[in-house]
Amino acid sequence: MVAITASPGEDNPVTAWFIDKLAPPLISGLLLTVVASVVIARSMERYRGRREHLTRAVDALRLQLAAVQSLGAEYWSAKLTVPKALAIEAELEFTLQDISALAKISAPDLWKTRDSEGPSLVAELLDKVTGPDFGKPTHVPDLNRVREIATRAALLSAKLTTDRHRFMSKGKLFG
Amino acid sequence: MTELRVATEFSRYLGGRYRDDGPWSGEEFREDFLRPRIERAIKSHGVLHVVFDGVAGMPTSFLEEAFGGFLRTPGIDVVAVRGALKLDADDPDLWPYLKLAEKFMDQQAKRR
Repeated sequence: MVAITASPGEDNPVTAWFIDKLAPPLISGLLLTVVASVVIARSMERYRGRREHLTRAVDALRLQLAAVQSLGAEYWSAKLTVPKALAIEAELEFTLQDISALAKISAPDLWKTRDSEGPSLVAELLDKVTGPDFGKPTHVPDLNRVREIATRAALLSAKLTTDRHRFMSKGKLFG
Repeated sequence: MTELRVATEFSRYLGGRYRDDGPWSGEEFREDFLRPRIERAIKSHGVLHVVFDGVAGMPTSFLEEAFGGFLRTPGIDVVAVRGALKLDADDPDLWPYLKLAEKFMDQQAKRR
């Protein structure tokens, strides 16, 4: 650190004392305060950004879970014409893929390995929506599936909400 | 151990259930790719790893027809097939679909 001293022509002892003793720690403190406030502000901004990103992902996931229940009910509750069944199958496949991707984003703690809880919960939902007769022209209505789809969707939603809460309260958003 | 890389050896864009549904169907994959490779693996007491990394998506009816449908084949040795077939993907987006394909095979194995 460079010492600040009074110039040779300076004869005011108070000014000399201020420049010599008080100014260096004041300047250092000021610099530290500025750096700390910038770091804290950036960290808070990142926290808010991640929290908003997660909240949006969970909201989008809830909408897709509602959509899959509605489409699944339509598909499994009545005998459909082939074109109508094809259209719903395509929409269900798309929605399920979206649910899988959103679930991974919403709950990173549940998605650490292939055998973690997240992939298993999504696989259960996939199984109930697209059972063995899915995509066959001969598929028959199956009202049990409608109930099972709702149950699996609710389980997935509840688990993701709990995990998201835990993820945020553990402060992992700062990581 | 042998590998069947679906995205490069078959297609990145997996299709529907039957050949009539269009190209790259589960039926086509099962009959033209999976069956001969598994038969070879069983004969040589090896394991066939079917790797899905690189595919653009995994339609569930494709999976059911390819893997569930394979275990529906009359006269097939279910235990030998389950021992000789492993499904793999490093891409976390594909993990639920791997579990689903395994579930389809387990369901068919229980029915026999």
